[in-house]
Amino acid sequence: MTTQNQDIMIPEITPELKRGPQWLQDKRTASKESYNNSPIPRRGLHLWRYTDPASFVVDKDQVVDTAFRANLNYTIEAELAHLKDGNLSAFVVDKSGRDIEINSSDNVTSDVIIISTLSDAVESHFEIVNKHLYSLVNNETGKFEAMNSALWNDGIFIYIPDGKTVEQPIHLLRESGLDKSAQFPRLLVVVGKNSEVTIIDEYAGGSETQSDNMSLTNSAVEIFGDIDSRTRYISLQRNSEGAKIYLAHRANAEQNASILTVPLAFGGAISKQNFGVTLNGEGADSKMYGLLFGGGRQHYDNHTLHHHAVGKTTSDINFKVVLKDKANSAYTGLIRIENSAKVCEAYQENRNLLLNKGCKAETIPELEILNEDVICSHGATIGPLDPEMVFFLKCRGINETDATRMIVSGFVEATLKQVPADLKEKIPEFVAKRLEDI
Amino acid sequence: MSESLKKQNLELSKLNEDYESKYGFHDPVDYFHKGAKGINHEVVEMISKMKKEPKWMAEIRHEALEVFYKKEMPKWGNDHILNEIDFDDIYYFMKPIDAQKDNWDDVPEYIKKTFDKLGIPEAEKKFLGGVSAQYESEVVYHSMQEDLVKKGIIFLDMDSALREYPEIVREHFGSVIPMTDNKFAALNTAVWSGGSFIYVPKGVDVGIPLQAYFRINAENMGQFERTLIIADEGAKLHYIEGCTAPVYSTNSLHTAVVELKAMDDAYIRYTTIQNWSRNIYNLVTKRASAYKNSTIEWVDGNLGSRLTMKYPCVQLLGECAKGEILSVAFAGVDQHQDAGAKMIHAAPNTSSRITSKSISKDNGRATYRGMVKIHKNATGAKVSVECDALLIGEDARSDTYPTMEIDNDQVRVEHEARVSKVAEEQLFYLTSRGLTEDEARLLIVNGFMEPFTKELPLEYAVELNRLIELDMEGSIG
Amino acid sequence: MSDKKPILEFKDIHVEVEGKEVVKGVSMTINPGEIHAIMGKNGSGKSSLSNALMGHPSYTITKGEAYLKGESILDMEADERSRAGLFLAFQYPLAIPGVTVANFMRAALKSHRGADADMSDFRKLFKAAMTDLSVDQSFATRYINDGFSGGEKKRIEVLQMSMLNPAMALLDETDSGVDIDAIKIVSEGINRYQSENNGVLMVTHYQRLLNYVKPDKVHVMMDGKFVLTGGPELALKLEESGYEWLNEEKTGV
Repeated sequence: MTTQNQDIMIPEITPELKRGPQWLQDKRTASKESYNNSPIPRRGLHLWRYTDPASFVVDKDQVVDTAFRANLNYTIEAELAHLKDGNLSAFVVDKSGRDIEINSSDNVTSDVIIISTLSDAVESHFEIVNKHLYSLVNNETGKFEAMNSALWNDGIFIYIPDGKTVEQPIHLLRESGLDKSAQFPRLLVVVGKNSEVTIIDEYAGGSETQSDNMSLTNSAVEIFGDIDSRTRYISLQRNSEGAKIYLAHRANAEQNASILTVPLAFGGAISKQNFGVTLNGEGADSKMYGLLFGGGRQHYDNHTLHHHAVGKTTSDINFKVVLKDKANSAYTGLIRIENSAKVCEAYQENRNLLLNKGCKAETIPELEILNEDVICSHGATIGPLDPEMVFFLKCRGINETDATRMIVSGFVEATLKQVPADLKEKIPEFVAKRLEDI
Repeated sequence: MSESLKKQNLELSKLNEDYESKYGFHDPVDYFHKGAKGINHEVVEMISKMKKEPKWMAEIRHEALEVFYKKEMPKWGNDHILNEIDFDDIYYFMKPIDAQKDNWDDVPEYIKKTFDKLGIPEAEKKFLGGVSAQYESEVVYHSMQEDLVKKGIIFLDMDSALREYPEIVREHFGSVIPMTDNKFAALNTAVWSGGSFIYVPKGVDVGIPLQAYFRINAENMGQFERTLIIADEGAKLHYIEGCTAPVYSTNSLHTAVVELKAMDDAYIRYTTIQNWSRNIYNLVTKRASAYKNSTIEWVDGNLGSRLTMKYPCVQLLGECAKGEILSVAFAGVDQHQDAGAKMIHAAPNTSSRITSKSISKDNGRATYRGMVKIHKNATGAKVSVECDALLIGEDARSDTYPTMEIDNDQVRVEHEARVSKVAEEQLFYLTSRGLTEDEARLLIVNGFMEPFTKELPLEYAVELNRLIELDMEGSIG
Repeated sequence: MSDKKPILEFKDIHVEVEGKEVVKGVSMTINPGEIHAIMGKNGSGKSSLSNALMGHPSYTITKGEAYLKGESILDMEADERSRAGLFLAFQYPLAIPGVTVANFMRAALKSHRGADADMSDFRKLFKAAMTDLSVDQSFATRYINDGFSGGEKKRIEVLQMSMLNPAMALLDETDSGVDIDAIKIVSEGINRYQSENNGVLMVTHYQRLLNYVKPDKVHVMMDGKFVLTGGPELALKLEESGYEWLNEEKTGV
């Protein structure tokens, strides 16, 4: 083992660390030790080949800043009105993983949704929190997962008891602070047996320009879908231009549970997001439909994992990437099917569309198949717009710019179809904005 | 199904069942020279001295040994098995006889027997333009058809080439694979011995394949052959290598370096059928440079060894150069075939295709590890990658780790992979026509391998069909 | 004929594809109300000619002139030619995943009418056109040519033509890969569109389509040149005797 540079230790930037019951404090301490004792991942190592891990290290200068400055394409008031109209079940504003304001719809009673801060839930729903928190993302998951596990101030807790259907989505707005800020949001979702919920997890704000003081958001998401549950989770990353984002998402699907994950990424300067679902019970199904649209000098490094731990499970991934300007994206997707997981079906597709010279894409679709009783395939493509398609549209009088926009929106269409109605109007706006200066 | 096909398939089913009697024999040899185990500068010096090499080569060797010391073991592939290798427990140089022969009758009886058993002289008579046979560290027999000599084709073992054509060797040696490339390339550069050297002059088409056969006989032996093939402008060449070793309880190491250069408009096909015994670590670096309009084809079959880590590479350096890699791996009991392909597009309008087929059986593990890189200037590049994995048995494992790094927007890159087992419906269809389940399974597996076998010269296709380790019995789940 | 100015006129057109000349100097004048046909074997250059006239970037016009209603079109981009009134029905219409037929048609029609155009009649027009061409209404929300059968693709091409109502329609092998029922539907569509004010140029291998859409003039193309021009009877002769006699005739001259 070669010696690593002495890493920067986790600073004491979050006084809340000592809050909460002893078991939680112990977990935090263990996480902090894990972080401090582990080397910075080596460049070139799997999953770190394309992003410098040093980007996500915090130092003493960094602060938890809860000033609210997100540049949104809607207003908080409008979203609260949505809530009043019954189009949302809850609207949560999470400032820097610290100040969390929960607005629940009057139509939704507390026997259908329990939504609170994690710090409250530790008291009020001790058993559920104790059983689930840290079980998917913890100090052993990785260095930066240990960082979140040690430093989160407060988080969001969503619990849907057995047999409940939450008809309208829950909208979480996670706001990052400006330059020099560091935040460690955390989300725990537990969906009971035969229950159903849709969560829109929106990340916004952060540093507005790239500099040495870019904001850092290190988020952890744990989702548990119990037997027969149906969970839809939409992750919308639309942070400001100078934000650094690290996300560890892990979900667990028990018997016959289905999980839909929709990772959407438009913002940030450096964004490394890791989405993973473990299929843990027979009949469990996971679908992931991702879309990433990069421009400027944005850097994206996305991972997906479908882990078939149990047989008779199915998974499907379709991850689409559109790049322009000097943006670059690396996508690494792993399907792992364990030896004991017989009779599985798993599909994976990654399509990359490069709109101009200067952008760059990497794709690494991986398979680890440890038994024969599977149907599994993956495909990946990287290429420019098809000039024949552009010509076809031009022949019908549509100019080159509109033709390009049309083909790109067709390219992303299948993913956008998966987005719930509430977001459906907003997402095409982001796409359109990206396409404006093509 | 015709009787002959049936017979062929049945034979297939018992493939390598007879490895031990067929290839696994070993000769009690009195070596002309057998060094001590272990690797150090003295050993390197000894090898160099024995070979009476020019000083510059000795210097390269010593420098490479330092690189070997410094380089870490690869962290990928199968580091668990890699770390089993005890570099101090390996013989780095063994010279079986005092001088190379070009007349079969002069080859010592025990070696002759070995290669007779392996069918080498027979094959030479039938369809080869030249043959080279390496036993442990040195080439013991070498011959080439006279008309090929007249055409100016040079086909020698590497040691002789260094003596007879030192300038050419010096110019190209290590120019495609530098010693710093990886730990094993460094090791090879330090202790290399034997291997083939081929030079095909401008515009010459060799016509019939040239072949080398590599044989490891001794236990704990390390074979480090070094091959350099240069096809000058417009030249054409097909080169074939085969390899086997006896079955021992302790492991031997095979670490070759193969460098190919196809100058403008040249064509090289390099076919390997690797059937090392299952106690060989096969860690080979193979790379080709393809210049303008040239074509390189690697046809790479991996059947034997305990662990193979081998990723033939084509660097497409000239405009419109083409690269093709067809790779087949068969991983049986306790085997790990970590094979793949690398395509580096560094010039405009270059094109490449990678086809990988793997079969994992019992607890065997087949890994496809690939890299496609398109540099900024490689506008108009086209790449297509296809990986097919077939799993036979509950504990078989298949991994696919492709990496595609694309730095140019005017390119087309496509990758597809599938993992499957022998489909029940296919089996049912065939058995309903009267085949036994074993026959049916074999037929399907043969069909799966067909894209590879059809690329081999007929004699080799038949040989391969015998070689493929398809002991299908007991695989019915 | 209301207007004496030709709808489409081209002179001495030469076309190159990948450095190879495939059309070697052809000329034609199509007046309002006229239907012309170019017949020829595969590889004679007829599809290259229509692609080049439409402005396909891979087909370079190295020499010659082309005018649409008296206006030179060779410096125009494909979309400008389209808006100027030229239409090409493709031999192999391309699939564009994710883009619905309705969205595409709306965008195309809007581009022809101008950005501020009132599009309130779009649905009506679109529905009517679909009914005319026996296209199921469900096609509106399907992706362009994605999984369409040969006949469906060609009907959608003609549907686009009828909605955009171009001055000049080039129909490239609109009859190929299509069964007889679809040919009838497609032909009816062409006949409905055709008027005293526009022009039609059909490019075809067979006489089949010409049974339903009667050409005024037939041009026979061989090896990049028009070797013979005549009336509808020429098409019949080609159908009966094939193209071989032309070779003899040509070498005879």
